[in-house]
Amino acid sequence: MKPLQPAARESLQTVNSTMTVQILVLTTILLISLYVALTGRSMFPISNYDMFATNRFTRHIHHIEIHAVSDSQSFTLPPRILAPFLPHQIYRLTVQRRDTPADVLSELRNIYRRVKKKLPGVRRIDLILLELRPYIKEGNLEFERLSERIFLTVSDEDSHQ
Amino acid sequence: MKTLINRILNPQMFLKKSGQDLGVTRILMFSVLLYFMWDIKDFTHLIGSDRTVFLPHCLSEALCLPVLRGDDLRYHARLFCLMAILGLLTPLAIAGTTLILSSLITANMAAGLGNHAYYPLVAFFLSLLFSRCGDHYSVDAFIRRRFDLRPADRNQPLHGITLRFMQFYLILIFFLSGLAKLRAAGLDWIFSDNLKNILAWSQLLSPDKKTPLSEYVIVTVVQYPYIGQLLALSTILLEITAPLLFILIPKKWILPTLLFGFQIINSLILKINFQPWIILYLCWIPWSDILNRLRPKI
Repeated sequence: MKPLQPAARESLQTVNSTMTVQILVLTTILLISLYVALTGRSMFPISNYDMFATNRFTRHIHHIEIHAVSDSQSFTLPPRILAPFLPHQIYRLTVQRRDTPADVLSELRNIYRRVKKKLPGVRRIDLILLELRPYIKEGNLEFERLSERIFLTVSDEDSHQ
Repeated sequence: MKTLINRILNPQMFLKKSGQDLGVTRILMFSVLLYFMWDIKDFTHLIGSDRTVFLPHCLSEALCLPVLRGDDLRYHARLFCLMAILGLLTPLAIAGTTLILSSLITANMAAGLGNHAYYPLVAFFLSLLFSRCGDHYSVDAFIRRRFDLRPADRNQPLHGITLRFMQFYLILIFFLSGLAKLRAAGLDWIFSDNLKNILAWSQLLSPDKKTPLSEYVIVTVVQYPYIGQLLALSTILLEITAPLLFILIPKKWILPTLLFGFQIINSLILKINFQPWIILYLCWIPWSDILNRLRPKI
């Protein structure tokens, strides 16, 4: 076998060292991704692809509504008013991550401040946890409310805290 | 056994014109990102709030780089994407794009929006960063040739490893998703009303995204729950067996086509935005073969 020319040998060594770095980097990316996915961390990742995985709706649906209460009426806040604090976020806090009420309360205060700017007449907002069962009525999807409870309430006094 | 090992390692994949494949993949990946980057909602104004750690910004500060927000961030994202497409200072362009994309994603997460459509892209771009993907179809390569610097062909294994990594990573995402479902709810994820309830819930969450097709499927599944269980079983089977299928199916285009079809169905019914994932499928296409077939006709 012919010995390699010095230039070719040098080039081969460069490729080898670059490849070693590359393999190390790829292995690190893979290990971090696996760690994140298997421990359920919410940083970059892989398992977040599937937010449905963590939902356990085996019997019925757990749903959250945020009701705004003014002097004259009470109504469910539509997502466009809640954005960027979508109900998904509160859902994650309460049901998926099972945070303490104190953590959820701080999010709810943020939402309340936002709602007050858009709807000054609102005096209070309620975070309501619902258990629903879907069914079909005359070809349309309907939801039966199996249970309903107020989880947290934020009013003017609380929002200043 | 030898055939099986050959299938897993597939030396052809590592060597055969991988540099060209990776070059085209780079151009297309960043072109698609340039198009979709505007879809990512910008919550970078939240940076600095005390309850969230923004890793990309901590990194920027550690490297004494300016912390970008809002329009500045978008401008630099566009600039870096264009540089990566052209292959001009490729590693710098990819590093910049990855950092900016990470900033946008973490700011999204701080605002409570889990943007699952963009998470895997970061890993893909990090792998590109160390792949010498600018060896072909790039300004860098042109300059290297012009000044007679190190030829690109010597780096073929580097290109092949990166392509293989990206393919494996995509499959791993599906596998871990299947695993996450089973870990969360066990076989109940399949053999209960779970999928029926998830589908119905999606209508409740986003009634404005309802289409006749999604409505028809969801109404059917709620009416006949065993269809939901069948769909759940197919989902888990596809996801869990994806790595095995990757090894066992000799025709490599079948699995990505199946996974892509699965995501299209998902987006049609559940309205989950997987469009940026187009980027992840680009690494499966044998661009060099396609270019070679086109060449005589041109």
